[in-house]
Amino acid sequence: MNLSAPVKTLATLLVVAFLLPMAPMLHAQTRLPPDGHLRLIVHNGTGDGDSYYVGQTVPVGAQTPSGFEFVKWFKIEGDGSLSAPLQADGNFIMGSDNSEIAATFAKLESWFPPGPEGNTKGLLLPKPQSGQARRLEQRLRVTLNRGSSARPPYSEVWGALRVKMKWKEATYVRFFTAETGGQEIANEDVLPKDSFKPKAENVYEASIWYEGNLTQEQIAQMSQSGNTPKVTIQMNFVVEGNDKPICWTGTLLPVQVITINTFIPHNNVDDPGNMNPFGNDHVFEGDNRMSGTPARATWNKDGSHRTQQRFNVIPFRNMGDADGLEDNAYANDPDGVKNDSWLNHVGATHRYHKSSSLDASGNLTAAARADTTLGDAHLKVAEATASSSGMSLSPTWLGDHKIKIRCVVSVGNPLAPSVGGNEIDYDCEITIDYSNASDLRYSLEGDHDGFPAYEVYIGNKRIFQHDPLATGESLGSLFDPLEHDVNEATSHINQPLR
Amino acid sequence: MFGQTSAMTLDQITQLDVSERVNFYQMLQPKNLENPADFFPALVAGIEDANVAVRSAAAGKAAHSMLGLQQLEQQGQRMPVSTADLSNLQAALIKLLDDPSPEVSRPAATALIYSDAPNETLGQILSKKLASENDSKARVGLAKDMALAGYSPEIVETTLIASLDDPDRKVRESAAKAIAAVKPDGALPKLASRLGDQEMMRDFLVDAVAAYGSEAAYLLPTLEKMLADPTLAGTLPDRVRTAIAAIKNPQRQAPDPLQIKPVSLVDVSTTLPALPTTAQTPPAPKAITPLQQPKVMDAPTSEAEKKSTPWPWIIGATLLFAVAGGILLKFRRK
Repeated sequence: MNLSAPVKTLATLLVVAFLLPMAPMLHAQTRLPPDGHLRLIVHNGTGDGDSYYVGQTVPVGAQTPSGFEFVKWFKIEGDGSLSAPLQADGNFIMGSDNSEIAATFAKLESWFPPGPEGNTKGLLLPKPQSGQARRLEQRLRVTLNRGSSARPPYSEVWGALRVKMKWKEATYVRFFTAETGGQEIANEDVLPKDSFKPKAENVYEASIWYEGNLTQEQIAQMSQSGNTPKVTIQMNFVVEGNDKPICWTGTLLPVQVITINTFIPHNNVDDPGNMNPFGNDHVFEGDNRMSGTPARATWNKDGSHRTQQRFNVIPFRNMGDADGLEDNAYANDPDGVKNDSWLNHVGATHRYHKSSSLDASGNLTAAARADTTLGDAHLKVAEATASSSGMSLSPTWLGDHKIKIRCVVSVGNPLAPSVGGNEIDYDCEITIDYSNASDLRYSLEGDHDGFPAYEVYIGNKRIFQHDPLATGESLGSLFDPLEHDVNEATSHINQPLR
Repeated sequence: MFGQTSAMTLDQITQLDVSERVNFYQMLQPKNLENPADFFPALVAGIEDANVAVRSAAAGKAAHSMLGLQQLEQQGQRMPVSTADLSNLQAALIKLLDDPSPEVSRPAATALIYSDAPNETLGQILSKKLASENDSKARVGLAKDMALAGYSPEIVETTLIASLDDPDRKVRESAAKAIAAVKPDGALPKLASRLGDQEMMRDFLVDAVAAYGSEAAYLLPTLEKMLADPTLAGTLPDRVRTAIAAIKNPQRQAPDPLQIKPVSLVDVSTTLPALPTTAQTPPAPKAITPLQQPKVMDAPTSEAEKKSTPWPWIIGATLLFAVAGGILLKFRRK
């Protein structure tokens, strides 16, 4: 719009003339009370008063309810400051305005382990008094205790938080994580959630995914400390609204990491692909995971494998889009399996010329393994990796805190013909029941071939294994059908995860 | 390591206990026998063993052996055993098809399929087994193996397509996987009707649809609608995306170099025993004579597929309309 200079000037003057009468009103918001005294409102603690003066030091004390643990003071309004926000007893320095502060507490809701080595606290957040706060700040803490000083400390932590709030006539809510990190945790990748939509009338929910890793230095420090190490994850978040929350609760649950491996325990096996009972001059490399007398498979979640399915199971239904939350790569996934956590991995297959590749004890030599000249009928002769297209996952929620994941694998030898169902096959359903946070449960059902070896883990807990060395099964057991059932009779239904 | 046992005679094998016999058959190679020529007689003895675990091990070894012989034959290498012995093994395998344990009958069927080129005699025996197989999943597996080996009787294709309606979801899934490999005519409508079957692992259905390439183009809207479903979970969304891409841009599929097309190892017509009679007689399969080139399942895009491609017509029509429109516009301006 093109306006002449006089018109612009006139408009400016009109605005100023309009605002000038409001100046006293704006000033009234920050001016001292008419009697010259300041007011301090203290929720959940002592120190309340209405005759303080600017700069006065007011002792404040949190009144921690039985069964709760003091978390911190937070300031609701005013420009004063707390001398020690993380201590239950401290001082509040009055500013130039009335102030409002509150003590917050956390309640230990339950203990349950994310794996065999530790414990996670589920926290129930306190209920602030009705109609008090426009801005709330809270911190959640999770402590993972190392069960024994002999065990290695955690190198990874995962968790998921769901916060549920009821707001009175709220039309605007902001929710974001202010910071995360305990003294031992670094590099957390925390979801900031700038806004979210109401789930129902006056009910708002937000879910947070977080994960973190300990640095090698931190692990080394913890190992040297000699004490029972603890890893503390602190999650601080702030809620802002244009109205007052009347209650809020939060629950922190561990995310379960599922791992399913298949592996050939032997150092090498005769080539079933070129079928050489007649001459038999080739072997395939195994995963070399057996020991003892008689020889038995050795179990290792992170060991060499033919196939591996690994994924993270989120403990809350509809963490992402299905809540009406904004799409966010961290908050996925409505189906309960964190999308970017999937790993459908197939180990490489290597074929060797038998007589030139095995040592006196029948194991592959280092020279054979290191050979890079293929197709020469000497040492290593071929290598290939099968497609992972035969590996599928299908999660189904059975309730808000109960999820079933069906895992199907049918992967053949990429150097051998696929006939008679001679692929590595399993078809199983893993159910994780988070309904009772203090008693997490799992079920495992399905069937699998007699060969090779199979191992299933939830976190670090091995919940299933099949050893073909113990059952006397070999390559012939790759053929259809899937001869082994896993069910109630094998004690894998509704088992404690502890 | 795996496969090391001392050389034995046929008599010594019979003196082993059950676990030793199982172990023996799992590791059996000609060199494990004092007389390597006893390889097939030894297998026959295992197949006729009273213990199911021994029969299972022997049947598995027989299946591996037939595949090995086929590879040697097709590589032009000398057969290490006599064909007369092989015919005795075939006769024993035919009996084993009726073994009550699928862990025995299933590898026995595989061994039989790869013991010879597809032919009418074996086709009838296998079709009879297919028709009488009570285990639905085994039935699907047998049909798939027969089709991939070159048997193309109608019963093979109808078995696969009909199995998509099996009450057991695992059978339906096996059928979808088999159809993806075999691509029988007329399966697409049934596959399409199952795309909403949420009880199934639909990954396999989608893979099967994608295997038909541009022939499945009419299902693109259905797949795109599936992809828009926010509740689509697990690996399925990626599979649907892959299928859509495969249908829109079908690639010529090279035949699987590992897939064995069985050829004749022995003339079974004079040595096979008479077929057992059953109450249920399946329709006679289309005969494929020995040494006849079997049906290539993974053939490049077929002529029918090429003819059905609508893109040239669409592009041509678009160009025509563009030219006509341009001319009309010019006339109007004038």
